[in-house]
Amino acid sequence: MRQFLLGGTLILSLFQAAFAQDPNSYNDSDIQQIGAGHGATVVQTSKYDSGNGSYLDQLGTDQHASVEQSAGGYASNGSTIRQLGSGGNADVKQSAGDEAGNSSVVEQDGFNNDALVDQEAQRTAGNNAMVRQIGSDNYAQVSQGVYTGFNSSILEIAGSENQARVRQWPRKDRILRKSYSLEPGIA
Amino acid sequence: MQITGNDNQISTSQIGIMAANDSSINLYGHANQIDVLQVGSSLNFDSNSSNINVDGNSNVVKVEQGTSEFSESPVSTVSEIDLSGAGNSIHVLQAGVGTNVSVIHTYGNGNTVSVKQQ
Repeated sequence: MRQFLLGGTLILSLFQAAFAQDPNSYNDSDIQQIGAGHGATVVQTSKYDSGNGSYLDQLGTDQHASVEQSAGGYASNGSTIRQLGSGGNADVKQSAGDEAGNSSVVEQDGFNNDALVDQEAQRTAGNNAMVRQIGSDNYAQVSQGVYTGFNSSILEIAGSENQARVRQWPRKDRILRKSYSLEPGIA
Repeated sequence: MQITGNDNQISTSQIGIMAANDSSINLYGHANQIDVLQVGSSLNFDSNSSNINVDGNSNVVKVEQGTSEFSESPVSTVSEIDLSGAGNSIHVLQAGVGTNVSVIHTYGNGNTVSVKQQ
C-alpha cells in the first residue's frame, strides 16, 4: 500500500513538473486540412530566447483558423495561414516582447473570406503583416501596435466588393496596398 | 498498437525516467476515443514522441506531452497525427522545455483541430 502511494505521488509530481512549468521552449505547429467545415485553433506561448511558429493550410469551404501567439524577449512569432475555398475565416493574434517581432501571412483564395490580424510588439520589436486575398466579398483588417519598433503591412487584393482596413499605432510606418480586378481590362 | 472497431476508449500513459517515450497507434473505426499522456522525468534525453493514424468518423484524439523542468533534450515533444474521415476532433497539448513539434494532417469534412504549445 505504501509503495502504491509513493508511486502515485511520484507520478503526480512528474505530471505537475511537466505541465505547470514555465519553459523557454520553441513551439512549432504544422496543420494541413483538406475537406469542408474545418476548424483549427493554435495557441502558442513562448518565453525568452525562443519563439513560436505556426503553419496552417486549409483546402475546402467554410474554413476557420485561429492562431494566438505570445512570445517573450528575444523571441519571435511567425504565422502563415493559407485558405483555398470560400467562407473562410482567419484570425491571428500576436504579442511579442523586447527585441522580438511578429510576422503574419494570410492568403485566401475564394469568396466571402475574412482575415483579421492583430499584432502588438513591445520595445525595439516590430510587426509585419501581409494579407493576400483573391476573390470577391472579402474583408481584411490589420491592427498593429508598437512602442519603439516599426509597423509594416502589405495588402494585396484582387477581385470585387472587397474591403480592407489597416490601423497602426502610435505611428504609421508602412502601408502598401495593391488592388486589382480579376477581369481583364478593368483596373 | 492497432485498434479496429467502434466505440472504443483507449488510454495510454507513459512516464519516462531517464528514458524517452514512444507511442504509435493505428485506429480504424468510428466514435473511438484515444488519450495519450507522455511525461518525461530524466535530466537528459527525456523526449516524447507520439504517432497516431486514424481512419474513421467521429473519433476523439487527445495527446498530452511534457518534459521535466531540467530537461536538456533539444527536442522535447513530437506529435504526428494523420486523420482520414469526418467529424473527428483532435486536441494536442505540449509543454516541453526544448522544442515542441506538432504535425497534423486531416482529410475529410467537419474535422476540428486544437493545438496548445507552451
